Amino acid sequence: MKKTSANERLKELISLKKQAMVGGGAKRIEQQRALGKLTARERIDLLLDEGTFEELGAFITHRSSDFGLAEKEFLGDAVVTGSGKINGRLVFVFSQDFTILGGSISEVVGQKVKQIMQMALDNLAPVIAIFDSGGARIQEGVWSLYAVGEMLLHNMLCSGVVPQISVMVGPSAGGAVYCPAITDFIFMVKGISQMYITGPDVVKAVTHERLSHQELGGAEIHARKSGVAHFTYDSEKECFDAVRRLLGFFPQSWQEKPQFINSKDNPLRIDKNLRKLVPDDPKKAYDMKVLITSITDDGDFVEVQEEFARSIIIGFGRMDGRSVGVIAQQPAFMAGVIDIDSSDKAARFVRFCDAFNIPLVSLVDVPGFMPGSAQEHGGIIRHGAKLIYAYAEATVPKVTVITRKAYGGAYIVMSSKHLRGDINFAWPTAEIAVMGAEGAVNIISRKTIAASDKPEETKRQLVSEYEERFSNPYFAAARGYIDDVIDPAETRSKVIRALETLENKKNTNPKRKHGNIPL
Amino acid sequence: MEKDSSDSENEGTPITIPMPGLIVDLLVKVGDKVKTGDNIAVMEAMKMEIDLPSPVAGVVKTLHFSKGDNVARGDVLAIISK
Repeated sequence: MKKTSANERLKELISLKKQAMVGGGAKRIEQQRALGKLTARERIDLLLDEGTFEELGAFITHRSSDFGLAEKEFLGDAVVTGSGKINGRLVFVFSQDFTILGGSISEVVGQKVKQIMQMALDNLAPVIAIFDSGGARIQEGVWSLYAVGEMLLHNMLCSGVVPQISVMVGPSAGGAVYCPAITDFIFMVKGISQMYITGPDVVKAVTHERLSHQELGGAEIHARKSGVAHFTYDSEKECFDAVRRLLGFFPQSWQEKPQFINSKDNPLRIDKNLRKLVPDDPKKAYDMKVLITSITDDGDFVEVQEEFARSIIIGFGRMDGRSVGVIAQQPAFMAGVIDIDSSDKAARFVRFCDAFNIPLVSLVDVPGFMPGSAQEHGGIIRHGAKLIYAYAEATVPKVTVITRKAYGGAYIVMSSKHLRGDINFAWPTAEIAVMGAEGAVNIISRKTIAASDKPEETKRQLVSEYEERFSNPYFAAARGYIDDVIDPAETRSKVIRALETLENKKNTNPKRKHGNIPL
Repeated sequence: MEKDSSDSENEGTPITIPMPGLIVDLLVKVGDKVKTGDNIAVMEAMKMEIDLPSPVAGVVKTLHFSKGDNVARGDVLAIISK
């Protein structure tokens, strides 16, 4: 460079910075808009507190010259990286830039992302990853595989150390789609996000299946069928607002507890309507969300994977300012049975909460695991085992409330005393037993019934006796498996008091490299 | 946004059975108008009565089961057309 004055050098810097701001250029930005999508930098602006973004690596350029890439050098390459604040809290962020070579992942994209994730580890702050990419940059060949590999490795390194949130606002395909898959929560936007290992064109060529991008891997499919998406929204703006909201429930890292956010909602608030929640008719269902929103501060509840495995409900709320993870059966859907999908859904949630010091509140009305060949052949044994392992392993405070049924193995799995549930409550309507009265009587009194001249009547009487003896919480309470039988109206205050008591609870598991959770 | 391919084939939204059980009550007949959330039938499974509501508003185009029938997971109970 020829000798120039400091002033001219400054002008040059300003000009280069301007260039970096437009990424792939005005025309490509137009194309992005035409697809209804925002730019990489606009997304960062929506995500972070105003004026807090500190960019790193804006001058990084790729080193490739194959396939004409020497002519296509872009400042920063196809990702914008840096740090910023969300509600005053430090976060690290990377946002793929679709306007630069289709957002493709190059060697230097990998380098930039790796740096950001390493900084998140060194500074113990969450990572927000914004994905919008055609995949690996084929022109770079194996360098792009190195990049994807580095990203995946660092996703694993960050896992359980700092919260990792992925926002899918464009395509994500091939090996790179495993990056969001390893993170803690995936956000998708309807019509804009796509996630698949193999795209529709290759699928059609190889398997002759004809599917659109949305049918194969759009937001709705991943929300309803695969369970890959934890949250879906109609617009990018709503999506980023929701990311900001979700982060409030988490600590900065595994070494902290989530922040208390006080509300004016009285921790001793009584709700007499809860006394009528469980119907007198044992066959009738009710909506468990009524109980959830009754006991959380201001009724706020952020549900996770709302449309997937609906027989179990998971999500975040606050109780007297304290962030909690709620797990509850939904009796109104499939009788609240635990099946393969609900086991997977709840188990990962339990482990996330445990990793980040978020206490667990379990609301139980479970008739059992779902029987039948579909579940057995699908491996309910392997999947149900995940939930048992997760609950048993968790050392965060565990508070449980049984509202109605809690039978057999499902009673055990749902945060019972036997899996180190700390404080276990039951409503007077609780039925804690090995199984339902009819099933039990059929087995225990089979001979008596067969030998009777009025078998139906005998059976009915035996069922009634069994119900009176066992279909209540007192048998379990007599053993201390239930710590207290409570007035449903007082559920909120009882759970809050329990959480207060358990504030500094410590539990450990044996030292080992790591357990072997069934997968 | 792409339409669900099964929609165009059957010209309506299917109501699918979520788990094996028994239809204990059929609450509509072919031709009835339904709103989103209206209960189409009640089935019994796991000793509980499970509501089967319509996910869309429309007209009951076809009914594939009646009271007393055993149903399997994935069976189409009814198709609701616009």
